[in-house]
Amino acid sequence: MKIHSKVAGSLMLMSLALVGQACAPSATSKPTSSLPPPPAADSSRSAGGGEGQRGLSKESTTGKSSLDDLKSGKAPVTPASSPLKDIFFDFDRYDLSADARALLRANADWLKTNSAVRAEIEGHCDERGTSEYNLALGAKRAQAAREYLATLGVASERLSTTSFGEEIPLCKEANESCWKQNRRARFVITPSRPAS
Amino acid sequence: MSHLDGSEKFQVTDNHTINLSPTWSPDGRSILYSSFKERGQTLYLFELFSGKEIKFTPRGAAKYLSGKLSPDGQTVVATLETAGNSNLYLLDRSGNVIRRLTEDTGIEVSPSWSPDGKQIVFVSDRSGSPQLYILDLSGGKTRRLSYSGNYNTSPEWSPKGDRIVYTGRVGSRFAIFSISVEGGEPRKLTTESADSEDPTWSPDGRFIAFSSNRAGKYHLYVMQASGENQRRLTGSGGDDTKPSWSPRLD
Repeated sequence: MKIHSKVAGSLMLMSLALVGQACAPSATSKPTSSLPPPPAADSSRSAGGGEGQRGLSKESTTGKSSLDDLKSGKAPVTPASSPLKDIFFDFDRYDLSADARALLRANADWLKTNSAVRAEIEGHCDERGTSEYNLALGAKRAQAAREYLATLGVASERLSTTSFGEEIPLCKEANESCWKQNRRARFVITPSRPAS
Repeated sequence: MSHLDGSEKFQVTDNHTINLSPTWSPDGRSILYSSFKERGQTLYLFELFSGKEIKFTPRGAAKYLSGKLSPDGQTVVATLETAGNSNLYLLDRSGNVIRRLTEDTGIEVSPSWSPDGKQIVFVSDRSGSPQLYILDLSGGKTRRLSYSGNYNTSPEWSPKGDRIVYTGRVGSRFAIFSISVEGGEPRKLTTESADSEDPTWSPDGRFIAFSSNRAGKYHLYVMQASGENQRRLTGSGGDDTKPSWSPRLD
């Protein structure tokens, strides 16, 4: 009896299946260590500037998804010029702080101005706790942002959610100033559906 | 995957994405794991000997976060996330839903079967913080197991059926505990000078493997079920986490 691929003869009485760096490429770019700046008061206007996606400029991109960044060896950084700002959470929480709600209001303004834009909200966590719980916690964070945007008039159908839990950290140092950067919801513009 | 002594480690998946939460089938012939290799996270049942793989396809935008095969290998208990809510579902080996097991708007994750397949221990934040609960599959009743600490996760039922090992937060650190299935005071098995997580029992219940960052990066360690004689198993350049001990293989 042979195990598929190169594993024949490698399985003994007690083996361990594990998740390690061999299974997922690590981001090689040095992570940033400072919080992204809050959005400028007029960022929604200068970045979008028109109905639908007509006004989207090169500077108004949100960057690629964190998974795409991971695959290409980049840190999952939201560009400072992004019209959609990250929001941040306390440890093991998914309620929205006053700061988070203010950032979401600016994000909602921009999304309503650019009504053809669709976005994915990524939920992220810091490294503490277990991966499965953090995947569920990240999903809660992304959903909280989506639901608040809906109350501000952004159609939920334009927003999808995903959670990367603790798997794609923005900052990799083991301290609170780093962890708080990783407890975030990130917004990534996704391709619009083709016109039917 | 590696031998217990850390030798002959080899890569099971090679798909350039994130693969998580591997668990063995009871017969040791398959591994159930979650992956982001296609759009949306879901589960895959990978047969080691044939290389065949079954994808568990959730409906709509739902995502399978993790799963574990039952002791008889015929069913899977899985965490399904939809609209931010994570709940437990019972599936067949092809990923078809048999029935929903929990109905909560919070977080319900990390299920682990009792050896007789009649109960499941899992994590829920229904009390306001993540705690351990036991679900009786026949009667559908759930009871809370852990009361010490405000962050208890990743339980695994012992092969003998008498204890449950889990990760608990003490201050700012995470440690490994075990607790009787009847409840009561847990035993702390690791110190809080570093973080220790993800415990998994040996097939005979005498040992526990876990991950710890006591040497900087996360590596795998093993100790007796009492917490004695802790020693390191792996030493790769990256982080080694979430071990799953295979069944005894003939």
